[in-house]
Amino acid sequence: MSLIVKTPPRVASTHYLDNRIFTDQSLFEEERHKIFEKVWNFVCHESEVPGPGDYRTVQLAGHPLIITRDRDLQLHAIYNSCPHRGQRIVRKECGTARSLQCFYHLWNFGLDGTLRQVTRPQGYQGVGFDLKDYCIPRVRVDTICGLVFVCLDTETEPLADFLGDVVGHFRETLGSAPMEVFIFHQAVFKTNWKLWNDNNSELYHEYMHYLNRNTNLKGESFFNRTWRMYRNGHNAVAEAEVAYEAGGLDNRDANRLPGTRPNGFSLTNIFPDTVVNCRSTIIRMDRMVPLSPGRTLIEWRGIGIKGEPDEVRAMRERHFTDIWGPCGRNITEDQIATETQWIAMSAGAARHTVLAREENLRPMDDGNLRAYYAEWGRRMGRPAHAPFAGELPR
Amino acid sequence: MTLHADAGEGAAREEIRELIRRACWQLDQGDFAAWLSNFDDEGRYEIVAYSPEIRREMRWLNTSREGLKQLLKEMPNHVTEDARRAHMVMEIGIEMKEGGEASALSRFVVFKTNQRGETAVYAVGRYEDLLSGGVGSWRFRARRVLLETRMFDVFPHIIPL
Repeated sequence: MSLIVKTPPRVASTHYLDNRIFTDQSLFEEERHKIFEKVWNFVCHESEVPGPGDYRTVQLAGHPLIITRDRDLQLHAIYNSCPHRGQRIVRKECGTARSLQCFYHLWNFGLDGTLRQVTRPQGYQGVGFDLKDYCIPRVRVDTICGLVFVCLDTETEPLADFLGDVVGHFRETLGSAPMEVFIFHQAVFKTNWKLWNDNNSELYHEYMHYLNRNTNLKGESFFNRTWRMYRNGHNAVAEAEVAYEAGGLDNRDANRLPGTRPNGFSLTNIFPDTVVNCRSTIIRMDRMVPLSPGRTLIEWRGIGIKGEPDEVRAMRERHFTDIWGPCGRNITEDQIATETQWIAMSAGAARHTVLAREENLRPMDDGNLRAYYAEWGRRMGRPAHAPFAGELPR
Repeated sequence: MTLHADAGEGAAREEIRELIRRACWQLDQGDFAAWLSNFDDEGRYEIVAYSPEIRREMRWLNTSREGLKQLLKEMPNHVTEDARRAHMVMEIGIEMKEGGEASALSRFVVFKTNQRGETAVYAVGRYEDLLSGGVGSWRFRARRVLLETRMFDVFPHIIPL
């Protein structure tokens, strides 16, 4: 008889998950098609493609894309694949170009993906070859508050509708002054993308972090706020005051970002994978690129005000890296937590995750995660607590 | 330059080489108090990396000797990776300056061995050191760790490189 507990927890079905949603290959493939290929996905900040001819390569759900800005400053999102023989067109992370040229056979494209010319065109005479038939496929691109989103589906609602009112949580901070990314780092974590998202979204694990025990949880207003849930699975929690000095860090009063309060900390989660983490003087944004059920490329961006004095920028750097970044106090702890969690889950040692905390939607209520997984279930067409209902148990 | 001065400079270079090697060994042994004592009172330490994605250099850690002391004091309270690191360091050049200062450039590779005994290359970079002192008292005035590795298996965290 197996000693592994497979019977569900004795709570409402909305209050637990089947952990196979984190480990199963078929569900992973389904997520790519039913979620990432259907929603608007944050891919970069406008400051990463600031001028005419600038481009930035990104990955989305297994699709290599190029974000470009043309001479009229219009943004475009096109596949990073040559329609001729499938070659990757751009091999660098970013750059500036008048046009895009595939290095293999030198086909040349405009920044909007239009095929301009091919080498030795006479070879195509007589076969009905038309340049217009071989443009690089475009995908939808739009921006809000300087954040660049792309969508692979033509039927999905417009970006503003997809995000809805959750934008109100960061509109003033990100959208009222010119901003730029000044820290970018990435890593492949050996965990499922949703476990990193959960880690970003739930505040119960603040107790794990030595720093947060001594700062966040000592702020009087930490528990005195509630999660707000929005259509399409987005959620946010308003700003709390954090006792940064109690943890040996700077107070965060001077040079605050627009719309923030002194020593603040707020969190906005954009379904399915993007987090806007604001701590008064600095914004951290996470996005995820799921690679396999147990491997996730995570990108972090530190965002500040463009053109600010060096000493102010140095302060923002310090405020970011005191907590986050590869050498900060917290991210490695979160990495270790989510990677070891996935190891245990993938071994089948724990069948269920419990999301049963109810605190009237106060910060350590699991209500935002329950709403997130309700949206996951809606899009996947199967509940997160029983993703294989009706099928043979695995 | 006299022969005596040449001999003195040679000794100083050897002391600096020894300091750089010893600092690596102290980190590998987890003897952070000894490692910290290699910095003078005004000592600074920073870890930087260039991001081609945003076309700029980033400072991932920028702190003073006191700041390092605080971080190292906190370390037992943090959740840290259970692995051992081993530095290999190679001197590229040492330049003696006026006023009891010197600069040194070295390349380093850090290997990491986990609890299962698996070893892998962890980080590659270089040390750009500014040193102060004199015979028997060379210390780091500023150590700049320039990382070429940006994708880590597990992040460096607050453990110095």
